[in-house]
Amino acid sequence: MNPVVDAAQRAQALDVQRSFRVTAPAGSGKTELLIQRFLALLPTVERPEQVLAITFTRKAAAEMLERLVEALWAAEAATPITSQHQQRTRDLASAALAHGRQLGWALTREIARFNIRTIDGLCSSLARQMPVTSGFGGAANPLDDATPLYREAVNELFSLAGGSRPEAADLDALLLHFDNNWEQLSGLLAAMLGKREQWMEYVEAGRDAGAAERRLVATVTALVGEELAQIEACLAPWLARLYPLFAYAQGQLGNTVPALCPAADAASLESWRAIGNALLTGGGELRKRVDKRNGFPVGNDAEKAQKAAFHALLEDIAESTPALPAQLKRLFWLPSMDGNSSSWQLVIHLSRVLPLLYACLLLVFSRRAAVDHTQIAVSAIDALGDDDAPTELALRLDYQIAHILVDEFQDTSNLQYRLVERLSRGWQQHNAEHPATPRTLFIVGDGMQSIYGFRNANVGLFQRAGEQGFNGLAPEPVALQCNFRSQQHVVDWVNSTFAEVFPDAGDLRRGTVGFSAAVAVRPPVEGEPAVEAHCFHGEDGAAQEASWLAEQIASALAGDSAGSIAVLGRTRGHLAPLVGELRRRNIAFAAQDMDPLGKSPLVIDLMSLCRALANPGDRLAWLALLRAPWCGLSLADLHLLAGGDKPGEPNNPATLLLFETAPAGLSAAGQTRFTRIAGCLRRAWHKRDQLALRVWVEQLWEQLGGPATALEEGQLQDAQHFFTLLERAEREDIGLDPAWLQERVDRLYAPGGAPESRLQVMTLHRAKGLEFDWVIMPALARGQRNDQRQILLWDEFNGSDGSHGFLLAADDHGLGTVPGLYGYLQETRKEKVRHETARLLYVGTTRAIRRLTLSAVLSPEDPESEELVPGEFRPPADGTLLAHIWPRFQREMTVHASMAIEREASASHKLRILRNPPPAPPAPEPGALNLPTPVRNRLERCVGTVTHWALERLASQSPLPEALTGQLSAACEHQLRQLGLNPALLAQAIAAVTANVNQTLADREHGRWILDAAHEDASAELALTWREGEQLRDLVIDRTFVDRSSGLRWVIDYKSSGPGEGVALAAFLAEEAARYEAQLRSYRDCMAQLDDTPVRCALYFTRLGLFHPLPQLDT
Amino acid sequence: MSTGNFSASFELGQLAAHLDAGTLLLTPNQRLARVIKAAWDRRQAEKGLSAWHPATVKPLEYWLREQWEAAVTRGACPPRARLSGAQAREIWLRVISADRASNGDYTLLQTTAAGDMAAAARDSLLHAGIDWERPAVRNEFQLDNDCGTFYRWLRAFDAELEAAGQVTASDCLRALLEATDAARCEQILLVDIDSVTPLQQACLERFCATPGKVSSGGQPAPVHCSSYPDRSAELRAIAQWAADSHSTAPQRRLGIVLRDMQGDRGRLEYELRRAFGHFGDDYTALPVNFSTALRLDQVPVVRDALRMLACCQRRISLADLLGLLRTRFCTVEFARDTDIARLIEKVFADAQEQVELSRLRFLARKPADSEAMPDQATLATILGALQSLRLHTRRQLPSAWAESFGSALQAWGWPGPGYLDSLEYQQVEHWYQVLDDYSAMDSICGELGLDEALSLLQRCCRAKLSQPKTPDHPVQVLGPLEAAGLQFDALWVCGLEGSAWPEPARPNPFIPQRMQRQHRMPHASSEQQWDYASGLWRQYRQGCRELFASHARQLDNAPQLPSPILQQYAIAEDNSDTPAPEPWRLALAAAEVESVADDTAPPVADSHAPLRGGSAILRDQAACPFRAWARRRLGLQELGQPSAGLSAADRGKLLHDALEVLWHTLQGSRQLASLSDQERAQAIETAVQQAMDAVPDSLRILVGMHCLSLEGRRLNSLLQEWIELELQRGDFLVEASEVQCKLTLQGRELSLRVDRVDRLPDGRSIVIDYKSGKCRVRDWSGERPAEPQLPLYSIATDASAIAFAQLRPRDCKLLGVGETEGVTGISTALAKSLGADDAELQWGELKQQWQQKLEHLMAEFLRGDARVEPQPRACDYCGLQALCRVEAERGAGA
Ligand code: SF4
Repeated sequence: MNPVVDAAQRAQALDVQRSFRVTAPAGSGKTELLIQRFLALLPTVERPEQVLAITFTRKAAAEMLERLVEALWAAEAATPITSQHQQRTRDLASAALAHGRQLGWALTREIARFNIRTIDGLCSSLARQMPVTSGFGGAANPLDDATPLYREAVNELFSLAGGSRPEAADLDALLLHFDNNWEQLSGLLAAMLGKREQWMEYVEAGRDAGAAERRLVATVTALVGEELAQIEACLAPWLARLYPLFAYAQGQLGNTVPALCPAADAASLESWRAIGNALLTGGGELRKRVDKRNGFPVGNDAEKAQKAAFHALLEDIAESTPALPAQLKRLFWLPSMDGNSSSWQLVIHLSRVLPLLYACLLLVFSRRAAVDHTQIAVSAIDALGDDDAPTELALRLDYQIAHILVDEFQDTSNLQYRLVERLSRGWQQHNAEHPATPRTLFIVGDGMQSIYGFRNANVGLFQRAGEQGFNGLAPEPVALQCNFRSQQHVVDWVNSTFAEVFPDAGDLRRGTVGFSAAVAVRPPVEGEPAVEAHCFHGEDGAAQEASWLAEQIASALAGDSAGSIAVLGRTRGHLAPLVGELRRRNIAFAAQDMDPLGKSPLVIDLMSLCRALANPGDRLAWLALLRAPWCGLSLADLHLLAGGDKPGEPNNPATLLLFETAPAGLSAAGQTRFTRIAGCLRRAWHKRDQLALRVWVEQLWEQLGGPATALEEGQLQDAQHFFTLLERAEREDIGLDPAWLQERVDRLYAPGGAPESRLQVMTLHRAKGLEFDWVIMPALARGQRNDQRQILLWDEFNGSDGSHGFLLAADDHGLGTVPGLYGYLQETRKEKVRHETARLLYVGTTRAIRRLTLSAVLSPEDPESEELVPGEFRPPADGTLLAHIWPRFQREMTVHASMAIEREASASHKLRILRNPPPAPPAPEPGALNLPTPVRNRLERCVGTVTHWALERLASQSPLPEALTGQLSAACEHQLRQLGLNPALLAQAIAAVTANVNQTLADREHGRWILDAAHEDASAELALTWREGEQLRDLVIDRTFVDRSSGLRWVIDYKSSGPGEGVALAAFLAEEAARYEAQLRSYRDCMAQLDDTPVRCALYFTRLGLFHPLPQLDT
Repeated sequence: MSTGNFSASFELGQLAAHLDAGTLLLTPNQRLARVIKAAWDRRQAEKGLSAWHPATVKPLEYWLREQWEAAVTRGACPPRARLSGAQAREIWLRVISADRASNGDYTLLQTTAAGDMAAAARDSLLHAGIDWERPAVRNEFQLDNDCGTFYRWLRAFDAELEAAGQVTASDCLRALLEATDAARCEQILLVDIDSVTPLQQACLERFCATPGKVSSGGQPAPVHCSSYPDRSAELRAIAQWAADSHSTAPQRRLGIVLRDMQGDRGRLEYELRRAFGHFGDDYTALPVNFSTALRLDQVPVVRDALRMLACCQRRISLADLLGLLRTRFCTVEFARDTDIARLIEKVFADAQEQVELSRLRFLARKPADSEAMPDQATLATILGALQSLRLHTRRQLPSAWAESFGSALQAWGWPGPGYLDSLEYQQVEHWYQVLDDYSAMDSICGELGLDEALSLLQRCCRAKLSQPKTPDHPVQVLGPLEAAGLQFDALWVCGLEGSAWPEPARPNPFIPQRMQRQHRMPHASSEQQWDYASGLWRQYRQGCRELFASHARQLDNAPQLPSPILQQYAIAEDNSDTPAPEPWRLALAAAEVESVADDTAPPVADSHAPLRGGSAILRDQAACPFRAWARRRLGLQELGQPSAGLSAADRGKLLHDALEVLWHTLQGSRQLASLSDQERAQAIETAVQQAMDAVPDSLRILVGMHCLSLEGRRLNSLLQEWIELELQRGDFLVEASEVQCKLTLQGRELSLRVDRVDRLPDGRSIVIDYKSGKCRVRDWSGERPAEPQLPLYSIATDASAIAFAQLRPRDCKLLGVGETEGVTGISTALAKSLGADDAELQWGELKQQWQQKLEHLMAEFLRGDARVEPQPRACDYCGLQALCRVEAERGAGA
């Protein structure tokens, strides 16, 4: 082991009194450092929640928590430790535990108290805890893909087109600019909504259109100013000599120029362009010579002298400032704010429409009660309040965040930066007042590994954090140098190579990062090459590269010395050839996110199946079911089924399959297959909505023979993956929605083989944070498919003074007479992408522990030449990974002689047919008629209930009142109101109940006798459990008592009903008696079990005051 | 009451004696009360009794409510109307939006969520016995914005209740405390109730000096812990365990506690079905009860009812429409109707995400001569019936709406012909109950319009939990709370990850946190969460003979720790992955698959009628024979996606029409040249206008007038640009526009249309085809010319040149080939521009070559050649992949 040279810095980083900004290059063990810092901070707070750690991914958060808690558990259990730096972690953990015990924390069990969050997690919890302030209203569960909502918002916007709002005019202008292609514009705007965190805060404020424009002008002015300043700085050493000559030349050309060199501000952009023109050729090269067309005639010696002087100047510049042309070139893409240029107008229109669009989105959010991640972040930040009206977060949370640690800071976005700013507001002041207990920031990152530009990550911010800090609280820089991962040779190679690639110092605004070298802790591994470069060429170069690499991998895997191997590529496309080759050779590997789920044959057929089930009119899908291997109907049969050549009146295959018999004329085989498939489908159709969605489709698929149609067992996993989607669709209440499914299968990837496999294939982005003994990076000379002209471009402007703004431009179709914002953004975008690819390459190479293999397919300068040597290849295209390290690669590469690779001719398209499909399931048995009778006449039901209730009460009263009055009547009214009757109905109901009860009370002979409280063992609403054979039944008997005189037990059931229109009383009574006889019989039998008094049963009709015994039930 | 072996085999233990003594037992929930009653019933039955008084056991909340009712009846409490939860929510919503209106300094994305939290907050305050009228309390609320705002709502809510004489369930307890009469004292025992709120405690004490506490549980059971790679593996293992132990001892009472019921229930049920072998068939035979209640708005029968009602509004989403067309709960089986396919194709052709009902009614109309019986219901008649109800014009009380909705559903014949399974049967019953709850909103909501009425109904269904009554099974799947106090032979608690058990504290954001901690309000602090979790844990252990606990080591590939509650136990690491189901693998192993070549459809029947589709047939044939067959002979096409604005086809049509009109007036280059700029502009203006006037109303309604007028403006400038170009051309006469002609290939007549024919002074003619996209002359070359239309036309006529008129904004040009010298854009260097080998290629020969190639394509088509052989990129915009299987079979080749 080499010494840990940065031990001092690491120790310093644990000083909990100070804030730090730690640069932690690849392999520097930053996670351990974060854990230690976290532990070290715990003893400084009253509640563990006060230490907040923010990570980039949920995975990272979980890992951090895991290691933290394990450290604590280990400390508590005092498990023995083995190494030095473990000792430090252990000490810190023990200290934290001790402190916790004093304050009565239960750190080892209240895991949830550790405040380790992702940005998203943190934001949603903030939003949740401030429902009103965040304007959120409630718990926030963001959609994984909010595109449908964006689309809906755009439709909202479009519905305002032609309306009276001022923005309508701007919208029209936009629509016309995009050739009235609403769909296209809708797509663009939807995409913008997806990235609105970049522009919202700028356009939001600009609610009134003028403000939006002023903002934009201000931003562009600032931008141009800074650019010019940079150029001026670069030109400074020459200006004294240059300007007079320039002025002279312009004079010769009849142009007047200011006597003095113009200031570096937007206003004088044109003058600077003129200077640029004087120095550069049209091609952007430094001029070698000039003549009178440039204002340097040679009429006399004086003129000759001037010309000579200029030539001299040009030579000197070329000599000592080779970078100048590159700088000057920028002059020609700097945007001019020409108020009436169409492109500028376009920008204005956009900046006016966007706020309205955002408003529409909010509308959709609340309509759908759903949001996206950005909205949560935005709400959270709003909730923290702006600097004029800060929110007292401590009150809200009931604790004060005292320390913040942020990981992967190089990948944060402006929004996230702002969040940290607001969370740490007022800390500087606090620290001034409480120097003993300062609040601290701890920011860890590595600019050289910033690769998420496409996700709004802004590497400049990591620098800004150092230079400007957060509200004046500036973390001190700490630079780690040690690399614990890669062996020395690899580290050395990376150092020397990337020193050339990265500039020495970063540039905040242009988003470039300065290089810092690493120091290897692992000693060099001798005897094997650490880094190799391989070059292939010729017709089958790519195939050759793939097969050679596969060869190497195979033999490495054969031996067990190789350890873990990773093949890393920029895109799936770049990896495809090698992946194919590995598959062909049956070399097992794990490939995360390689093959889109939607392209798996099983999934394709499953999609057709779902399409069909979801839509009986989707002829294409239903026919597809018949063509899939489980049926494999011939074209001839399909033709017949689909009703071919009958334009206008085609058949609907769904109708045929589900309800009709196989049409005549089908081939014999067709007949059989049609019938089988129809059998499966009919059964499924019959069961629709009765089974869980997944089970329903999965069973049908099995019955069709789906599993048997897989090409190899691995594919079955794709199907499983698909079915879990159905599960989710049901859970999320989406149901069977083909569009939703398609959206998912296109975005998801097929499960990629054994995760534990020694060989891993993945994209560079996925490899971030991982390490492998041997890293292979193929196809380095392949470029991105150059994404076609972006129609909208935008970018954030980060001024060196910390000011920031937003730039947006729409494709001006190259019409602008003067360079427009669009052009500028295009150029800067190119630039940024170039920088990021360099960092991507760095990330890739630094994954290697022992060995790194780079390879590329190159094209020779002269295709004819035979024996090629390194010097004879064309340099890789700009924008490729290789372009960044070309010189070195070229020096070190091994050239493989090109050879033809034979591949099997792609087999012509065949129809696969499953010969032994499962038998058709039995035909569905028609269910029995089974319908609950609709419940109507709510009023009567209420009256009935309350009448019963009242009678129950009365039964216990003596003396029995003459009528329903006083307290009880009030109580009845209350009961009725309780049932939610509206005033009108309530009045009727009260009347009815009163009538019922009074009628009963008025019935001296029976009514009052029934209610008489003096009866022996009388009870009302008597609940009983009764065993009838093996059946237990619960009964409630309205009224029962033993009549002293007769010695009979009466069982009485109240009825508030009465004969309907024109129904004779006798008929009515007979009917009711018949209806309730069974019920009363069970009452009778039950009572008979309790004692042996003879039982009599009767119905009592309260409304009629009529007593109706059922003699047939007498015992 | 079932004697099913789960509930009844609950061991009453000491409870029995108390029940005999007639002591009142109060339980934390209905479930436990039911179980105790069942056990008691069994006991009585075993005693040989055949009728008895039921056990005196009730859920605490339920019993307290009874006491309040009684007090009101006695007149000891003021008679206030007790609000249901749903009613209370409506009031909260109203209060909140009123407050927003008056202090409009905030917006809320999810008002309903806020309402629910507010309701919960108020309950917590009541139960904690906090009097928010006290100044001290008020001040504490004022300290921050959220609590302050809530406080305003709170006061407003109270005021509303006061005014309407209403109370919430919690208010009732409060009232009970203030009952004017002394209540009788009862023997009360709390069963398995760990904690009661201060309010409940106070109430209880009014009735019974100090309610005793008993636990139904016994000795803590031994614990077995295990961990799994991920949740799927965990659930699969549990399912397997349940199946195995059930098959060995069918009477054992097994319990499965899902920590995350919502998230894991579906998967567990699936795995259980697999393990028990009740997959799909004998679906209902699975001996498992799930405690999950379904939200009524989610159950199919109600979901579709709501969709049916949605058809009373102005538009319905495409997804809902499809849902209706496959519903089981309507008397009409739409899939039985062949025309449904045509209807659906038309609807998709409109490419609207929201389908206008008026449009739908129009499309659904059957042709008068259709064989459908007049009295037989169809989509058309149903929609007609709905419309005649004119519900959208009404404002009425919920109870009245309940009636109206009833009749609207009648139009659909909901809930269908009546073959419901027992679950659906119950759900329909629940629906009728909801309608009662809904009617009970009269006094809360007042009169509503259709849209409000429907969304209120939505909310009511959403709030209604439909707990299916199923026979009592030996295996129970329960939520964490429900399992507490029950008894099992073996219980498995799953999902015990450290991050989730105990759950993170979730204090109510509307109550100052200090106050919540101080009063130990539920879930307010992690300390409490721990007590809560460990309390449950204790009950689990006492409630069973064997306790299994498990957790997943990874969730969405983030590592997970075991719950600290498992710290003291050894955890067995299980590493079994989750392979594809056995049946699948067997099926695959046994599969006999053969590959056959099948690429010929029946030949096109001979006939004298011209082929429909004209040149498009050969375009498809050239691109891919299969496509030509599927599109042109089966009339298949992919159902499109919804899209905004005018479709490409419609725009093309407008463009063509405008140009036709224009040249109809201009005749030719002379007249064009003779016009002044402004006259020219005028001519274009008029042409565009006429084209616009010809737009069918259906389209106007679909895309809206504004979109069309913009299109008009666009066309105007586009034509300006184009005409500039025509002005540069030499002399020509537009001989014909939109011309038809016939051509016979392979003895079969093909009818062609071409946009325009120009006649040059020398008598030669140019055939022109308007294109709004990018055009390539190369599309005429190759063995299978991608754009055969003009070549076809050229051989059908004496044309001396053919040309695309590319009308793309900022990129207008004429490009073509022929023998017409000196016409800009038309190349006479045929070989060069077509990339032909024969450098000397002449126009005549070219036409002959075309003739041969096109004859060949035609022959292919006629003989039914349907090979799947796409030209490069042909598949990109084809959409027939599902049928031709070009992608599905890609892997099969190797
Ligand atoms: S998708 Fe491709 S292969 Fe299939 S029919 Fe269309 S063009 Fe032919």
